[in-house]
Amino acid sequence: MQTCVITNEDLGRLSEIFNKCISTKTVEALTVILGESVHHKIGKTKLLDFSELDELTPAFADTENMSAVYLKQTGDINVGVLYYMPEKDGRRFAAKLLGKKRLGTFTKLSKSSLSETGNILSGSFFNALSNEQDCRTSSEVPGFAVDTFKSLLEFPAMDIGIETQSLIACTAEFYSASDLKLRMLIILNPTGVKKLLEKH
Amino acid sequence: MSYAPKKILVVDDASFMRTVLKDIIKGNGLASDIIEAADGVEGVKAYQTQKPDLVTMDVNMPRADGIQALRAIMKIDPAAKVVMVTSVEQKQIVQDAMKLGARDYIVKPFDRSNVGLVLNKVLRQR
Repeated sequence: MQTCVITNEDLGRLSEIFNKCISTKTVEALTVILGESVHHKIGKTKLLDFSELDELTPAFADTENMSAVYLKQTGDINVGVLYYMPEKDGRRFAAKLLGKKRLGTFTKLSKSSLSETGNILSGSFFNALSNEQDCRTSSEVPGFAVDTFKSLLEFPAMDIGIETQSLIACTAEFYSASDLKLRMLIILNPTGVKKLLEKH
Repeated sequence: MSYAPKKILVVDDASFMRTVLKDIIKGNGLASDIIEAADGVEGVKAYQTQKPDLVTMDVNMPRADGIQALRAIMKIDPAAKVVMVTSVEQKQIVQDAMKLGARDYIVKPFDRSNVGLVLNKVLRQR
């Protein structure tokens, strides 16, 4: 197992960077995608051991299925981003993107609409991060899934944190004027955080 | 609405983006015929067989990406009108594409009216 010490100061700096990137570019992109105003809230950036990942599960996601898009960004650092919302909200979100009143089940096109939204939001976020920290990354193909939050988190957590058995995580919440809610979970491993903070 | 007797090829691996672009093209009456391709390889094949008046080309795609497909299309037809579709993080790729002969680019997320203007402008170019 690799060891890399992350201090509270590191987490604080990371929170500031994420906040800056999200509050400018990500919110702006989501506003254009939905065609309505969007506000957001960013949670604390936390360092979690693999045994503490349950802390990332929001209360509403305990039993309900979530619709989610996972994107991995690779390059100077590896970052995982999981976009998620309750399944029924995902259908509402996709219906809005497709210009429909409602959506019964997820179709190929509606899954594509949510995946592409994740793609665009990540593009905006990582462009801002690149400008802020001179950190070059490129995105892999987004993956869409519907499952419990715990199951959805398993792959990204292993994907990013397997070497260190720990993750640095930050959740941002977005609320649109028509009450669409989307959560963005950003995860890195401690080595990635150090690299990112050293890049400035 | 009457459509211009033009043919546009939309190359994007995301079916949602192809649908959005087709809506914009139809909504602006830019083409009577819209062809789709889901990756760069299909895009180049479609260009060869269909000879469209304009191509919208996504950058990130499986098999052959947008830059590889653009290069192949420009080799087939140096006068091809290709508009790149990029994400905001792809400034360097846009510059490379313009050097290779792309006529213009549009950035996701789209401002639909701007996309119509760009495609219309490029269609009118010689």
